[in-house]
Parts: sequence; C-alpha cells; structure tokens
Amino acid sequence: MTIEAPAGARVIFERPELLTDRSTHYCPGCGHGVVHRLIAEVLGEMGLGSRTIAVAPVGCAVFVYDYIGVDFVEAPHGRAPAVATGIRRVRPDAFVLTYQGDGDLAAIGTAEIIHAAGRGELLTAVFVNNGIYGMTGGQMAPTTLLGQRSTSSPNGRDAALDGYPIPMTEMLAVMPGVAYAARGSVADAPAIGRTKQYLRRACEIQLEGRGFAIVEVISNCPVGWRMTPTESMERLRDVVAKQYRPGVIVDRTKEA
Amino acid sequence: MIAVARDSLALPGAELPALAGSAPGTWSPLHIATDRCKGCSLCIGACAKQALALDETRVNVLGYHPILLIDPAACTSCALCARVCPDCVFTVFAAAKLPRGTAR
Amino acid sequence: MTTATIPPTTLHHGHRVLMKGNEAMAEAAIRAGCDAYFGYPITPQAELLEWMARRMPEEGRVFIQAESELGAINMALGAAATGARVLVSSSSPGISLMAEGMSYMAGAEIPMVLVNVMRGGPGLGGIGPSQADYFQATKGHGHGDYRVPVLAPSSIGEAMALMADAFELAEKYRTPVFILADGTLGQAMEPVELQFREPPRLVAGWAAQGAEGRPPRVVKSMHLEPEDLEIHNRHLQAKFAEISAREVRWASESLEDADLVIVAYGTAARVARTAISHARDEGLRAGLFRPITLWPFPSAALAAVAARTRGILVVELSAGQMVEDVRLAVEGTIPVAFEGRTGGMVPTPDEVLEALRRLQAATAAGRTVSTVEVRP
Repeated sequence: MTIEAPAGARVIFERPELLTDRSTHYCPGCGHGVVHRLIAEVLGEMGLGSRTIAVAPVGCAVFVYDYIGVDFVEAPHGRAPAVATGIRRVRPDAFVLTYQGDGDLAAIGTAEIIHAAGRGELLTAVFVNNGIYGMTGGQMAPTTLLGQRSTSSPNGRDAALDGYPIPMTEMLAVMPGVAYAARGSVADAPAIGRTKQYLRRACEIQLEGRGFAIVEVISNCPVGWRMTPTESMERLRDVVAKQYRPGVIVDRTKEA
Repeated sequence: MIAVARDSLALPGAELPALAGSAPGTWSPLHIATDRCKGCSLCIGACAKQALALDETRVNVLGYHPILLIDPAACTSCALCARVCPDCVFTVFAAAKLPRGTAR
Repeated sequence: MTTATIPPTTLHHGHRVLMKGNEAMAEAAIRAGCDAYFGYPITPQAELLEWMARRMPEEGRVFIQAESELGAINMALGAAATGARVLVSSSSPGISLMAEGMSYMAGAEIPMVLVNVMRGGPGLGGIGPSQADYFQATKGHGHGDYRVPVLAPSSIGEAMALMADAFELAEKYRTPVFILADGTLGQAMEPVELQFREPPRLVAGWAAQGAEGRPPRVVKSMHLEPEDLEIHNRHLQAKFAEISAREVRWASESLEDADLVIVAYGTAARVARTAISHARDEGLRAGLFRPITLWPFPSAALAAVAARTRGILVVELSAGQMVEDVRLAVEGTIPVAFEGRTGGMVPTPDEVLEALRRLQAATAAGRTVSTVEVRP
C-alpha cells in the first residue's frame, strides 16, 4: 500500500516496496528492522527482487522471510552459506543472499561461512552482529565483548574461561576468494547510510562475478543488553565500534 | 497534527490528517504509521529539532505509546527519523518548492 | 588417484559391461538427469564422488566436494529447494552428520536422493560392509515424526535401476529418498547390462526460483504455532500412508514350496541365495523373501508368505535390526530366528545354512525359536 503525497509535495522517504506489510516481531529499537529495510531498499533500487533467492537463518531473524518479499529457503542453524552455495550453483541467473546473526555465522556455522568464502562463491552475505543470542534469551555469543554480561556469562565474559571475541570478518577477509568484506553499523543515521553503501557494493560484486562479498553490520539488542534502545545505540557507537571497527576491511576489486 | 491510532496492523490508507489549527490546505511533512510504532524513541534522538515525542495519552494496537509529531512547523523533512526507525513508521514529504516561509 | 574402471564414453544403454558398484550408481544418477552432486570423501564410497568429479563438469552439471558431510547435505538442501535433481552420497558416519539436513528436508518436503554405502560401526568403526544403519534409515534418521522411502538394491544392476526410481519417488512425493547399499556392493565389480532411465520432470510449483510475476515463496519446515505444526504433521503422515499403500516393493525366490523363508536384503540376500541353493541340495525346502523397500516395509506381503511356512530366518550384516520389523509383520504367528555378523564381517553361506538347519530342527520339534543369536 502506498501513501499518496499531498498535492504539491514530493516524497523524501518512503517504505521500500520489498518490505512486506507485516509488523515485525523484533523488539523495540532492534537493528534487524533497519538492516531489513536497507536490504529491501538496495534490492529494490537494483531491480533484483524477482531474481533473488535468499536464505534465512535461525535466530531472531528466523522470520526474515515474513518481512522481505523475495523467495526464501530456510536453512538449519549456521548452514546458510552451504544452502546458498547449492542454490547459487544450480541457478546461475539468480541473485543469492544470506542473512545470519552472530550465533548462526560465528558459532555453529563457522565451517560453512569459511568454506563458502574460501571457494569464492558468488554470494552476498549479511552478518548481523549484536554480540548476543537474542532469540534464545540473551546468552553469550562468540562476538560478545570481554566483560559483557549475558545469561551464560553472568559475571561478564572472562578471557580465561570464555576466550576472546572472534573477529570473523577480518578472518574471512584474508582469503583470496573474498572479493569484498566490510563492516557497517546501525548506531545512527550516518552509519546507516554508509552501511547501505556497503550493502549495495556487496550486491554489485555478486552481479559483476567478482567473488564472495560479506557485509557485517554491528547492531544492538536492547533487551539482551538490558538497555533502552537509545542507550544501546550509544553503546554500539562508543563501545562495540571500538572493537568491531566499521569500514571497508578488504576490497579486492580495487586492488585488481 | 494528530496521528490517528488505528485498529489494524496494515498500513493506513492514503488520506493525510490535516494540520490542526492551520490554514486549510496545509499538510504534515510526516505520515506516521501509528500502529507500527513500538515507542523505541530512536527517532526522538535523531531529530535535530526536537519535533517528535511519544504520545503518552494513548496506546496503539501493539501496546506502545506511539510517536507523535508535536511541532510540525519545526520539521525540515530531513528524514533522519525515518532512516533510524526500525519499523518504517515514517513517510516523509517535502514541499515541491520552498513552502511555508520557514528557513531550512 | 583412483582411475575409472571403464571410460564413460563407452557406456551405452543396453551394453553389457563389468562395472564397479560405486561408479555404476554414479553414472546411473547422471543418466537419470542428476543436476547436482555434493559429497565428501569417505570410505567405502569415495569412487562415487570421484566419478562425479570427472563426469558432472563434462555434462555441464554441478559438482562440489564440500567441507564436510554437513556442508554437502546443506548444499543439497539449497539446490533441491530450487527444484533441481540432487544426489548426495556418503557412508555411515557421514550419514549421521546428515541427519539434521534430512529432517529439515523431510519437514520442508524437499526431494533429494541420498546413498548410504554402509560400513561397520558404531562410531568410526571400520570400513567393511554392514547393514547396521537400517534403524537409522527406516526409523527416521533425524529428529521428528517422519519417514523417508528406503530402497535396498542387492546387485549393481538393481542399484542402477533403483537410482532412477529414487529420483522419481523423491519428486512424486516431495521427499528425500535413501538408497541403502553396503561396502560390498559399492566396491565389487559385476557384469551389468546397462539400463539407464531418466524420469520425466515434474513442475516444481513449490520451489524457490525467484519471485518473477508471482508472490514470493518460502521453502521452510518451521511452523511455530502448535496448531499449524499439527496440521503440517498430519499432512506428512497422510503422505507416508500414501507411500506405504502404493510404493512397497519386494522380490522372492523359491517360495512356492518353501517350508522355511529367509528374509534378507542387499548383500545378505546374495549370501542367502547361495545358502538356499545348498539347502535344497540336502532336501531342505527354503526360499528367499527379499524386501526392496525397507520403508515402507513389505509387512503385508511377508505376513502372507509367513502364513504358508513354518519358520523365518532373518540374515543381516548387523546385530539384528530388520528382524524387529519382521517380527512385527508376522505378529508372533511363526518362529523368527536371526543370523548375523557385525563389524564388517559378512555371513558365509555355510553359516546361514547351519542356521537354517537349526531352524528346521527347532520348528520340526514344535519348539518356538525366538532368541537372537549373534556369533561372537
């Protein structure tokens, strides 16, 4: 449904068409909503909606297929890059996108993402990293920061017991099959704008056949972090972004 | 401008509420999908003009106090509220020409 | 590097060739129109993967050696979810890793064919032939209320024919299908008359292919509301009932005048066949009932056969798995004995013949035979 602009006005911002009408189940202030919108905007602007076969994760975003109006295949937890590989290889004309959280990609799915990236699969991977397991009640994730409390690190993450947060995207960026690896953030409007640019570039790289492209988006979890949405965005900007630094990590298309 | 709370979750229809107390034909730069709002207040922080606030006189169908444009004249259609909103609550309009005498 | 036993260019339909089981199954899949193969090396089926590695690119089709069996089954899930005809092969430990993917595919109703060239277990076990994955294949394999059709060839020629049937069953009923072979069948070489068949393609109106000119589709197994999930499970159960009613297969030999029946599948059936021949030489009238679908199990047919005989001997390369379904089928009406070897050992015809003689003696004396004997 579109909203008619009043006579004499122009539309500055409107809901992208590829977002469905459903109100999301995400908590108030959750960054997933922003990332979904950016994906819908980019796919719409690039005319990719009817070619897209996307792969849904397990986690809070398990319902992503209810919110972005493209064909979806549900993957078991962590397996999205492998599922996407199968889709990509048998449908050369499709546009294939994966959407994963930090548990999906950096814990149970570590092998799958490394090997899809290592093979240089023509995929665009979206990695929403909020340093916690939201759907299951707020447990520690591989990307939870040292000292950060969670329901499975009630005294704060301790390096001696729990190890260090894993820099997945930096690790993936080492591999030659990875054409593009970037990290965005949803902390504020400028960061959101830059994240959209990274997403767009990651999609272009698939269309150009250059290799694997991943955009990590550091995001928030107000309920899991026990903060208001506004506080959580401040933490995202002031604490998380110091450890998981936004920016382009590698762009091999520029080096070529 | 009062955003009207509605019963259904679907995006409201095309009619725009008129600016209360203004001359006929003036309109609001924001259309707010009140029933989508979860009261997260990120837009309040994003607005440089302090033009937004939660409407604590009502509760929408999701159970939250929805956002309200309390100072429509201050709104510059910058759309930062829309860009930070996780629920696509806002549709933002601007006048085709410079409008209502307000410096932008 | 294993070289192919026979150049593929000379494999013509109708020709008689000597072929290794793993390679024959692979070529049969290719001729059946397999679009994509995903696998991981594991003994004793590496030759199947290697045949696919060479042949699939020749045919312009997809081959990936995945990072693990977990990767392979999930690549298969994705490819098959777009409507492609997909084959995966592995052996027992790898099949365990695939249980998750199979459960998801059963729930999402994604067609696919999975070949298990069974080896000795449990755990890392050994690389000798085995039939100890019967429970795994027929009782659901992964979590949840589901079954998949399980086809059990007992010769290389039959394995090739069942490959085409498996793709057809998978697509007709939108289900994964197991082909249960064993290390002997995979590694042996036999003369076969090449019978290739490519089943016609059905329109996959459910598949995720890009929402051009239609509403988006979601291929998924999650139904979060219990009421919805119950409806979905009832739908799946109705499907399993339909498969059970229509797709049962079995074969028999020398049953017309048999006093005793051996029930065996795969390699065990071949051993049984020899034992039956020797038994008849000494006047013992034995016959063979060979299930070809292990699920749905040919219970009704077996019960009818049992009604005309005095005793059943089940022979398996395991500690006794199918024997339970045999006992269920005959419902205590006649004695069921068991002869098995585990660990990769294959029962010999003499061992089976000896078991037949024991059964003959026991049933002649009117005693019931109900113990499961496994040789140490």
